[in-house]
Amino acid sequence: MYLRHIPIRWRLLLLMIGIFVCPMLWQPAVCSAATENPVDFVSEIEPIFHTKCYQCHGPDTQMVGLRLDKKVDALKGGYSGAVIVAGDSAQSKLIERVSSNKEGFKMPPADTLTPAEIARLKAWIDQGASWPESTRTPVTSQKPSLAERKAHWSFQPVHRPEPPTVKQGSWVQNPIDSFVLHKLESEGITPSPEADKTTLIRRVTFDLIGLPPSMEEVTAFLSDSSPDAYEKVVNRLLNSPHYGERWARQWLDLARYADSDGFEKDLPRPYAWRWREYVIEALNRDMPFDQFTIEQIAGDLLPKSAVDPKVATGFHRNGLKNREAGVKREEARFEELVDRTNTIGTVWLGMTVGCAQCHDHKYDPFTQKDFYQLYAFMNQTQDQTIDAPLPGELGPFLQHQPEYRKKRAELLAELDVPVLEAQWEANLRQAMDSPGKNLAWDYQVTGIRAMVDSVDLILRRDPDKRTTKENDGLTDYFVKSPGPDIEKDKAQREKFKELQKKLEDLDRSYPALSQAFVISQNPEPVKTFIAIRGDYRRAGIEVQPEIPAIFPAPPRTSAQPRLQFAQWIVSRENPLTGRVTMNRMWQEFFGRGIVRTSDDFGLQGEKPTHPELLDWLAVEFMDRDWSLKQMNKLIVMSATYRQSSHDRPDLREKDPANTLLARQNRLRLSAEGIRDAALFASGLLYPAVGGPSIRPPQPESVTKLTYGNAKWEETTGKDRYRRGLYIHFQRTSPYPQLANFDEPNANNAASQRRRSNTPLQALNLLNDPVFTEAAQSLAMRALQEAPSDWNGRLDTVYEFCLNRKPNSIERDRLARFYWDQRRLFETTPDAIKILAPNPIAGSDPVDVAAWVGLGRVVMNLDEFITRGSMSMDFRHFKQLNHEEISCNGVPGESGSWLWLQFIDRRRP
Amino acid sequence: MKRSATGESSGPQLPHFAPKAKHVIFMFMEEDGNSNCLMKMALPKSPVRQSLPPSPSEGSKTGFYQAHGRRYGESLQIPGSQECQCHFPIAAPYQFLRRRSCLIRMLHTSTFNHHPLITSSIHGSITDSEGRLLGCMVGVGLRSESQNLPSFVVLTSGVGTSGGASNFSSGFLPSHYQGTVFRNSGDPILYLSNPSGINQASRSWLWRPFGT
Repeated sequence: MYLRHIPIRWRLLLLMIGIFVCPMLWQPAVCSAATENPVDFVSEIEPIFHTKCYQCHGPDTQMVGLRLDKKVDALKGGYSGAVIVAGDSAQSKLIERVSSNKEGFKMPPADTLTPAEIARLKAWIDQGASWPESTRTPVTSQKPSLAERKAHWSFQPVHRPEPPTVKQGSWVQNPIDSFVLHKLESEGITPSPEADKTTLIRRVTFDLIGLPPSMEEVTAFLSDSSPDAYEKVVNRLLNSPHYGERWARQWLDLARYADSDGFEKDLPRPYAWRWREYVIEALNRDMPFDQFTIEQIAGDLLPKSAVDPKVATGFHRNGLKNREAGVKREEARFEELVDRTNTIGTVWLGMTVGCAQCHDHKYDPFTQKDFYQLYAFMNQTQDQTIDAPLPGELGPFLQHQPEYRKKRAELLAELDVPVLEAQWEANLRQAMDSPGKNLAWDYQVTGIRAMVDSVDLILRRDPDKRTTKENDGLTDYFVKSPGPDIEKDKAQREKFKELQKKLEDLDRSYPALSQAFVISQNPEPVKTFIAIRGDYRRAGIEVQPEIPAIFPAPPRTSAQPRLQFAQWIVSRENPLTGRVTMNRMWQEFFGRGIVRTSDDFGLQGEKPTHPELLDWLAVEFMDRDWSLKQMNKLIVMSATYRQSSHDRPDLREKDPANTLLARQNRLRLSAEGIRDAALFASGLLYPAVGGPSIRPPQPESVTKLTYGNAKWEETTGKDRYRRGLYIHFQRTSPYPQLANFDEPNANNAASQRRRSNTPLQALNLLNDPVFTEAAQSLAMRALQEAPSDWNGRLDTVYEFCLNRKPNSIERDRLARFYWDQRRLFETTPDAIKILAPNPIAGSDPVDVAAWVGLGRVVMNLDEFITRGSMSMDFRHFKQLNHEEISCNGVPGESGSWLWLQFIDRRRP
Repeated sequence: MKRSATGESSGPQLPHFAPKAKHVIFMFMEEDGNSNCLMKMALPKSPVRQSLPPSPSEGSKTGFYQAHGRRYGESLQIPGSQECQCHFPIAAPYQFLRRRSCLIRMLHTSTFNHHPLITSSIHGSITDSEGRLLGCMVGVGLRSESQNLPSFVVLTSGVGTSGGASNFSSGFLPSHYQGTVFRNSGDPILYLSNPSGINQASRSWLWRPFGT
C-alpha cells in the first residue's frame, strides 16, 4: 500500500504509532540482550550486513563512503563520521538509520531490518562491537563493479595509434583522413569531393575568425592556382587578430562568462572584460594550452607572477554571485565553490562531477569524497580585485597619483572620515565576532560581506598591512554606507552622500587602471569537509585536496596543491584533458564532436565515433606542445574538412546523422556570427580587438523585465558596431538577438551550443533595427562601390553577403522585386525619408530605398546565416532525423521559419 | 499542426506517453508566496501580528531581521476560508478552485531572501545554475502539438521580476523551450512590427518575389 493513498489524518496516526510504539518494542529487547546473550558477529551480525547492507556498502560500492565488509573501514565510518560507536548503540548512527521510519533516511531504503535484527545489532554494539579479524565474505553485486567502471574507455591512458592503411591513399591529406577514410571504406562509402573554392574560403574563414571573407580575399583565392593557395589562406587566417576573438567565444561559453552577477541584483561587473582580454590575447599568441590551463587555475601561485597569470584566474570569477544583503555568506560561498569545481570538471575533465556534490556518482567511478577533494583545491582561495593595467595605462596613472591622493585625502578629511571609519571598522569587527548582539550592525556586516570580496580577511588586518586598494575599497564603502550611528542623523547622512558624489567625480577626473577580478591563495588555512547530502551545514569527515582516486596520484612536491593540480591536469598522466579539448575543437569544425556528448566523457556519455582518431589528435596535441593553432591547421587542412557538404542520397539511409563524415556539414552560424556577418557585409563592422563591452540598441521592454538595476545605455559611435563577442551580457536580461540564436545563458559551463530554429529568430533577423541599419548601410555601400548598372550592383550585393554571384533565377526574381519596391516607394515618400535619410549626392532616393529593401531580402536568406553552400534539397528533409536537422541548423519542412520562405525550392 | 511523414522534426514533438494534462498554468506571485496569495486576498487590513520570539534572531548573522520584527500570528484566521482536501486554507473568493486545481505544498528552503526563494520555486534549487526550469521542463514533458508556435509563454504584470529572463530561459535545452514573453509594452512579441520606414504593404511585397 502506498502511503499517499492513506488519508492525512490516518497517516499522522500511523506516524504517532511509529513514534510511540517502536521504542517500546525495542527497549526491553536491548536491555536483556546487552546483559544476557552475548552476540556472535559471525553467525548473527555478519549475515545481516551481508543480506541487507553490502549491496551499497560492500566491496564494489561504498555509498557515502561507508564500507561494512571490512572491519577497519566499517569502524572508520562514512563521510559523516563513525557509524558504529562500540559500547554505545544510542550514539551509533547505524542504529539511528536502521531503526528510523523516515523515508529517505531509514536504511536500507527497502527490505528494512526486522525489530529482532535491530535488537541484535544494538546488543552487539552495546557489548563492544567485537569483530574477529579474519571474517570476510565475498559478495556478488549486480551493478558494474568499480573495476568495470574504471575500465571505461576515457579513463585509459592515451597512446598514439598508428594511422590505418587505406585503399584510396591519394585522397589522404594528413593522418586525420586515414582514420576517417578507413572507417568509410569498411562501410563501403566513398568520401565527397572537395568543396568548390568559394564555399571553402567562406567555410574556413567563418571557422577560423568568425567572419565572412571579403570580396578581395575571395577574388585573390580564386585567381591563385598555386598548389598551396588554400594553405596560404589558412595561414593568413591563423595570424589574423580576429582569430582570438572567434575562439575566445568558445572559451567564454565554457567559463560561463557574463558581464553581470546574476541573481536578484544582477549588478554589472564593470571589469569582467579584462579577463576576456586575456583570453583573446592568449589565443592570438597561441599560448600553449597547458600554460593557458595552469594560469587560469593557479596563475596566482606561479613564481614571479606578472599581472597576466593573475588576471587569468578570473576564469573562476565568471560564475554567478549573489550580492543580496541577507544572503548567508557561508551558503553563497559554498555554492560558488561548488560551481567552480563543477566547471573545472566539465571544462578540463569532461565529467559531470557535480553529480557527486550530494552522493557518489551514480555511473562514473567518482565518489562524493572525490568531489570534495577537488573542492578543497578551490576552497583555499579568496576573491580579490587587482590592478591589471593595459599597455599605456600605467604611465599617466602614476604621474597623477600624488595629486589624486592629496585631493582625496582632503575630501575625506572634510568629514573627519579617517577617525569615523576606524570606529566603524571596530564596530564591524565586533559584530563579526559576536553576531546577534546588535542587529543593526549585523545588518551592516551582511551588507559589506555581500559587496566587498574577502572583507573579513581585510578588516582583520591592520590598515598599514592592507593594500591601498583594500583601504580605498573600505573607505568608499564606508562613505556610501556609514553605519547606523551616522545614518540616524539626517544632516550627517546628506553630507556623506555629497562626499560620495565628490569622490566619484574625483575618480572620474583622473586616469585609472583597468581592474581584474581574480582569486588568490587564502593565507589562513581553510579546512574542507564533505557536505553530507550536499548540504553545507552538515559537515562530514575532513578531506584534503587530492585528484580523483581513479587516477594514479602524482608524486608530491613542495608546490601548492592547487598549482600541482593544474599541472596534473595538463600532464600526460591525465587521460581526459587532451581528448576533451580536441573533441571540442573537432565539434567547432564539424558541428558534432567525435564524442557527441562533449561535456560527458563518463559512462553515461556517448562512445566516440572515431576513438583512434580522437586519441591520435590528443597525442598529437600534446606532442605539438599543446598548440591550438597547429591543431586548428591540421584539421582544416585535412581532406575530411574540405569535403563538400552536398546532400548525398546514398547516405540518407546509411548514415543520416553523418557520423562517418562522408561529407561536411552545413551549419547555421552562431548568434555572434550572424551579427558579425551582417555588420561585415554592410561595411558597418568596427573591427577593433579587445576592450570593454558594448550595448547595442535593444527594445525597452527587454530592460524592463529585470529587477531595475540593469540600465541599458546604448553605446554610441563606432563602438556600437563591434562584434557580437563584445555585447554586454546581462544575465537576467540577455541581449535578445543572442538569446534567440542559442547563446548559452552563462549560468554554467556550456561545452556545446545547441542549434534550434524558431519563429522568433526570423522576426529578429527581419525587424531588429540593427539588421535594418545593416541593410541600409549595405545599400549605400553597393551604390558607392559597385558599377552603376543594375546587374553589376546586384552582383556586388550578392558578393558582399554570400561571396558569390546570383544565378539567373535569383537575378530575375530580384529584378521584379526591385521594380515592385520602386513603385511602392514612389507612392510613400515618408518611408524613403526614413530608409534613406542621407542619400548620396546625385542618387535617386527611390532607388536607394528600393536597394535597402533588396538588401533586407538578401540578408534574410538562410544562406546568409549559414556556413556552407546552398545545396540541400529541401524535399528530403522529412527523411532526415532530428539530429541531422539540428546539427545542420537548417529548418525542417514545416515552414515555421520566415526566412525559409525566401528559399527558392525550385532552384537547381 | 504540421508533422512530417516520419514524425521527425526539429521542434518539440509529442511525448512517448499520452499526456494527462493539456496545459500547465503556473501563477507566480512574487512577494506573496503562491498559496499565500489566495489567503491574502481576503485578509483584513491589519492582520494579527505577533512580535518575533527571540530565537530566530539569536546568534543570527543574517540581515533583514529587525530588533522588533513581527510576524503573522498563528491565530490568523482567514474569513470565509475553507480547507481543501490537502488542508490548504483557501479564501472565500477562490473557493471554486477547490475542486479544479491541484495544490501542492512543495517549497522547502533554507534561505529567506527573495531571489533564492524565487529560484527555489522555479529552478528547484537556490541558484539558477542548474538549468531545470519549471516552464521548459513542462514543455519537455507535455511537448507541443504545434511546430510553429511556442510551447511556453510568459505573461508578466508590472516590471522588474527578480531574476528577470533567467526565470524563463531554456536552461540547458535548445531555445525551442525558452519562454516566449508576451510583453506588456512595445511589441507584444519582440520584433513583431516592421522597422520604421517599412510599412505593411512593403513587407508583403517582400514576400512575393520568392513565393512560398
